[in-house]
Amino acid sequence: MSEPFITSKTLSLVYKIPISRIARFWEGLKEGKVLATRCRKCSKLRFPPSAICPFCLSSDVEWVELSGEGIVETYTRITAAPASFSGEAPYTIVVARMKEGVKVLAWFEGDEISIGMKVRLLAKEEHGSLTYRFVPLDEQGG
Amino acid sequence: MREVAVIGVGQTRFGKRRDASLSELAVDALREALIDAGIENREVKFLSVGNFGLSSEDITPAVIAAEQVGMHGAALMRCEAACASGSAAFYAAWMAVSSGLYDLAVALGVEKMTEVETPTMIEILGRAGSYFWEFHDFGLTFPAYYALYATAHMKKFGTTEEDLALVAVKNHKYGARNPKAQFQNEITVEDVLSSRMIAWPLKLYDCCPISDGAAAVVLASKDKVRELGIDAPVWVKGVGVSSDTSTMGNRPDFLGLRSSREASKIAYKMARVEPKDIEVAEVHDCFTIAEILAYEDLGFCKKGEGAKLIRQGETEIGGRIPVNVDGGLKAKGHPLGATGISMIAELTKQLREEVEPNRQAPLRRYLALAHNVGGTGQYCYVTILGR
Repeated sequence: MSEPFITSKTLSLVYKIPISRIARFWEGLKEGKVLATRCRKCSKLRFPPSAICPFCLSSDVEWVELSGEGIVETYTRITAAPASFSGEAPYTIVVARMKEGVKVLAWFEGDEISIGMKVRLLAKEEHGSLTYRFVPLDEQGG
Repeated sequence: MREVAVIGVGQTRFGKRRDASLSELAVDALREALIDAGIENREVKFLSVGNFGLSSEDITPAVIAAEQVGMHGAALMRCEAACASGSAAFYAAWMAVSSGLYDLAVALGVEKMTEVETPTMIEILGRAGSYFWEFHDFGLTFPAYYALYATAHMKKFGTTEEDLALVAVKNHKYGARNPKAQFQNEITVEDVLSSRMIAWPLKLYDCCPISDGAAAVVLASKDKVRELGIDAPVWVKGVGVSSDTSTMGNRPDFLGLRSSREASKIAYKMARVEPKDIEVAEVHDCFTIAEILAYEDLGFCKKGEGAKLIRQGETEIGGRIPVNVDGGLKAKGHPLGATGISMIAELTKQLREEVEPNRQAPLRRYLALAHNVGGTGQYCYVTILGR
């Protein structure tokens, strides 16, 4: 049974997202570094980075490189992907607590994954765009 | 702050509603709620509309619904709180009456999710968090956000995939008794475990469906209740709202939702009740793990003991605290904006003892709780109702 319907006009939405205030982050990725911001006033570290400290609202923040060493806090493996990631699945998502205390969410590239496992965060260029990935700690990669 | 009562409720059948547009579903629910309350459309001067949007053609649902249901000139707004958009609309309407600004207010929740292709809907839902930091590069999905919690809960407390499946089995059991539910069939643990993997450890049957539907409630002040001669008002005893980070990376842990704990604490305090006083609850089971987290975060059991509660049948009718005996999001369906209002509508009927007899919770103190989460705890609304 098929109910009658009318197909709407197409609305195609692509957003141009400004990144000038945190452009240093992508410069860092290009240099092979994953950067966070540290507030010079309250000294709290923030990831994802932000030009204004979300804790004390100071705009006096500095860029610091993360060591890349982290411990897996949780993970999942996505098999049913959204439209813009079709063809990419399956992929593994990891949230790791970094040595510096902040947490990072990113894809994990490797075979075995478990909570408590040590991972390394790496800057990476993929399909011409800059991103970051987790790999098992012993792997060099990059 | 004035006392506020729910005096009328309406809800459409949830499911794939190819027979009706967004505004038509809205009108169906509003009409039922106005008739139930015994008031005229023209008397309504405040209408808040819970709608997440993007998945249907209209981006101004409040004006479209108001025009078609004859509420010209009413104060209108659309409220967004992801999957708790309905509760945000309820909260707005409750504030409108409790503040003394209005004697009557209507909250509508409506969503059409099946007018777009399923991968597009998955895309829209996956963006309900931090698009920039967690979707753009990493393609998170809604099941995946909750799967992050499931993985951590299983590791820490020994919760199993079978425990998660028991939630789906229970909620399908009650969905089969609710003529307005999307799924009217019972399922087994084996059905859940053998269903297709979506985001490990969550499988297809651990997930709520993509749904269309609408629900509406009419709220009134104490004076208005008296004036209208309402014989079975259901009082809003407590309301608590809280929120959490947009990014999953900035959560303190993955063992429970901080916003659920905080919102429920506020609601219990306002209602001057404790978790053990609640006799029937609607909790946000968008995924099976979410119901187990809710048991713990709402204080129905201790942290880490949620799985024990479902295993022992304590959340079924006849158990300590019947939960989601209308099928929950899992089997009743989850038309995002409609869900929070549907929870209030269901509990109002439970407290009036008007639901199908085979899913009526036994009541002594007549206290019920609704728990509606937006996103993965980004928003949380808890409402306590009583007779």
